Amino acid sequence: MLKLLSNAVIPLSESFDSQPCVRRLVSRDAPVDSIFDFFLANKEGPIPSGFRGYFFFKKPTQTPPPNSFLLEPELSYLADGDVVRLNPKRNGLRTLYRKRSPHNFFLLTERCNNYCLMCSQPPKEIDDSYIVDDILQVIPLMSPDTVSVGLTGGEPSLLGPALIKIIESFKNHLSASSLHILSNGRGFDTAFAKGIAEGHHPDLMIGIPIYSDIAALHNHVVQGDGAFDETIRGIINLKRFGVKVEIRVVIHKLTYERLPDLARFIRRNLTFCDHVALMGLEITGFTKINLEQLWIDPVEYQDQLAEAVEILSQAGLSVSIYNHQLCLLKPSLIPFNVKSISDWKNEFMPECKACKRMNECGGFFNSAKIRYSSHIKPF
Amino acid sequence: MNSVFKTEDYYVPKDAEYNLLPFRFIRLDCQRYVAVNEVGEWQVLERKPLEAFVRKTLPQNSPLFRALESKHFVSVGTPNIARDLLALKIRTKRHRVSDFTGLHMFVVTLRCDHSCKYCQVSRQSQDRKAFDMTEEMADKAVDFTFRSPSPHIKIEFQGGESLLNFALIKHIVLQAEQRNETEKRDLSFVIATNLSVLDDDILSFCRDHDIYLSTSLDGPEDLHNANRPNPGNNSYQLEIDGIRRARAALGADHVSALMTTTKASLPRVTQIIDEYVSQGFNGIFLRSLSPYGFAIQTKVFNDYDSQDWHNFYTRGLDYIIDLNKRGTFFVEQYTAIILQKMLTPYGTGFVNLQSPAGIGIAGIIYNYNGEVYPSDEARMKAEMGDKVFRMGNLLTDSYEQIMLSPALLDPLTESIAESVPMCEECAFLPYCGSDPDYHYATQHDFVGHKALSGFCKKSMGIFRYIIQKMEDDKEARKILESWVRW
Amino acid sequence: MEPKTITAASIPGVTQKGDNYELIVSTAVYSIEAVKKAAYKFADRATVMIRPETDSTAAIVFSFAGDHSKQIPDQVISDFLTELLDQDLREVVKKETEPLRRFLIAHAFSRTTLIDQGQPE
Repeated sequence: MLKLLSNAVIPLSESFDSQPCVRRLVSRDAPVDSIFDFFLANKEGPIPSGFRGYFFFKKPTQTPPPNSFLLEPELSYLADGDVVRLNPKRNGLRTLYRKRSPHNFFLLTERCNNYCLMCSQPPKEIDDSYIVDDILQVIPLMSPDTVSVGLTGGEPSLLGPALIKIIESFKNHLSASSLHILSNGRGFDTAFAKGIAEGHHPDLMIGIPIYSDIAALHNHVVQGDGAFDETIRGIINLKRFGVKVEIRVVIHKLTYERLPDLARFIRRNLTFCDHVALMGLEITGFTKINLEQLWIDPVEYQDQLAEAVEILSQAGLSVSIYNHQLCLLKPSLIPFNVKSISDWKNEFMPECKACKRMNECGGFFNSAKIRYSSHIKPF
Repeated sequence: MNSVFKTEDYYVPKDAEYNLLPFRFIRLDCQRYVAVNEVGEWQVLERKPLEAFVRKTLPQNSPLFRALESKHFVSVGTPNIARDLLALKIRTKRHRVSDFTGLHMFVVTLRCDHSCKYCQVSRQSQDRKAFDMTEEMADKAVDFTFRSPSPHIKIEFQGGESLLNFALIKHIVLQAEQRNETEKRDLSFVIATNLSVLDDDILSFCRDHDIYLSTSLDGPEDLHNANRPNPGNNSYQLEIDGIRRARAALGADHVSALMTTTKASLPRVTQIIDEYVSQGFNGIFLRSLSPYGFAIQTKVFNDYDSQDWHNFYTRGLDYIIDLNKRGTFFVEQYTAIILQKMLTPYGTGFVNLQSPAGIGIAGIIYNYNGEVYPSDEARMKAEMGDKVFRMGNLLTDSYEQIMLSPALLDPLTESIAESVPMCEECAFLPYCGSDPDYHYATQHDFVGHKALSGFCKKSMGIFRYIIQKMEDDKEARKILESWVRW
Repeated sequence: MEPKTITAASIPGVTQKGDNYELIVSTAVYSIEAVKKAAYKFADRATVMIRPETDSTAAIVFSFAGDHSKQIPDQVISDFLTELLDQDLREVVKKETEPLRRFLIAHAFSRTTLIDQGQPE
């Protein structure tokens, strides 16, 4: 989503606006908003007037209108309704939003106060506050038909009041879209949790990982002193003010053994949580570095997973399993499995060729090529 | 890059000071003890590691220490979320106390057509209207009911045979529903009845007002009839016919049965369970015989002691667990109530196993003559001539006078388990309750000496048996956990 | 559980005096509270009396007359000793946890929760 291509964009007209800007792409005859809309010439036909700028995939036969740019063929996936950040000085284009994608998410910052052993987005200590400005510009340009939006990082709560502002903007412009924020929960003290709740977003959920019922073991996985305490305190604060919270657990070699104990802990202490997500490991980011410490074939933890799911679902808690291949799961777990790998990320392995249930299965992350179960079997 | 990440050893405290969180312990069996925390989370362990834990020599990375840490028997490091979570759980567990009285029993008549041996009611033949509750009293009782702040109100009709005064039941239901239009509580109705006088009018009224029927089934025909004679009739047959009719009209989920245990029942637990299974029930409540009312007068109570009943219960529970293992879902309901206390963060609404006792503050009873008692057992004591628990009368006393009567407050405050000998240190306290009715009936004292208490022996026997079963039989544990209603 | 094949005389500190059995305990090791609590719990198995002996010892007298005549003295006294040890251990736990317990219960019934007040020491 954050592909920054060099020479992705080349100015075509003599006069063009060289300032970086956020623009929505429209392929129809007229702009919806004449200030923010660029025409996207992705099919044959006349070039309509009235747009702030123009994107072409091949040089037009007539003289290009002012503020026209040529796009690299790699960008041919762009479509009507998408939103991009254009930087003409650097010939750069970044796709910020794709209307047709069922899984839109925004990275709010790369800073983080945890350092998880399996982090898929390794933290960077930089000032990336410009991202907030971008997003606040994107939100009003997004389609109201957007089903759901994810906010991730890094650690979104590090944005402080800016996060509340972003949530408010989503509420104002996309009130029908559900908002899911991934966070380690540590930043949600009473005041901040209250502030989030007072935004009264109609469909907000915060996904917060807990990796063990034992503080020290959780702290080891996230590489943070005192992380467990702060995370749970954050969850409790959010729930006090009525914000929906999902508890997430990534299952790997350091977390699978106590998974049933963690399930019992959640059932006793955090019964009020709105959802529990049990996730398979993605071999990306820090996971690659820590692979020997983390990797376990999913078939080996099916007993623990089944026990944990039973403990939680018996109590009426909503449970889902993500990022697992169907053939690896115990049959009793299949009703809890969600086909979750985003459409543009998933792939299948050679073993899957004859499988009859491929369209039910989420397949693999393309990073799974590095390591995946040796028990993949087609149905 | 690996040196950037710290190892587990860095995060696992080696010799960090740890602080015990409040808990109690008791011997479980010859080999083991069980430790239970303030909210009923338990850990079975042997005595040596228990002592090591208390004296701070148990290694912190041992599986036992981790289990105790997870269940909040200990907090590691300061300050610590464990205390906050424990505080939340304590609050959650006791939340129901603040709901206040939810169960309101109305004795609409003392007239009855049966002569049950263990009956706790003075038996009156069917035509003595002096033993019916009047409309005036009923209206006052409904007012009294809604004075309780409880969001859930259950009105239970009792007797005698309550359906013998069906006209008044109708009146009360309609009054309560009308009142509830403004009160907006979760209102439900139960009629305790032997189903012998069921007719279509009654059934259609029950259907229209979503009323539940609770009846008595003591076991197979011969046992049931021996316990519950109905002069001139086959009580068992009336019962079975009544259950069938009631189910047809109201649905099976609106008809439940309770058994009462007598000496004759004790050797026959599996037959009693089989009877319930064949009659299509999916659960049974294995009750002990109460030491109240005619049971004492007819010496029925003295006929068996705690050990006999314990065997009855354990054989019954094992038989039921086996039924489940073979594919029939069937619940022992007393066990299920205790499991709810053991496995969930919540308390239960079961009035007989509460501390402070459920008398008055969880359940209350309005007698046919307007007298108010804090429990059915207390009413029985009055019928036997001892009005120690009489809180007042609906016709002459106000709500405040009745609810603040020493007849209620004294037994309540004196018997709180957390502050009486043996109970206050007992590991099973979170699962148990104070029972001032029982101890007054047997020892003439609201608190009772628990070492001499049949209630205590029975309760401890059950708690130990359930914990051992869950600890030693994984399959049984799964079945027991499936009985819990969350 | 099977009764152990021991005799009361073989338990250190126990002597038989007619129908009664006397157990001498050190009050430097066991608090008199612990002794009383254990004695209270055994009311269904023996009549238990406590008598101070010296500055640092007390005598616990077990009588098995009447209602308790069917009890096995060795078993009862052996169990009593275990209970005494348990009471001692309970005192250790109570000493450390009772203040916190009162605090948590008080908060359970108060209008504000612990979390509202941040982290108490």
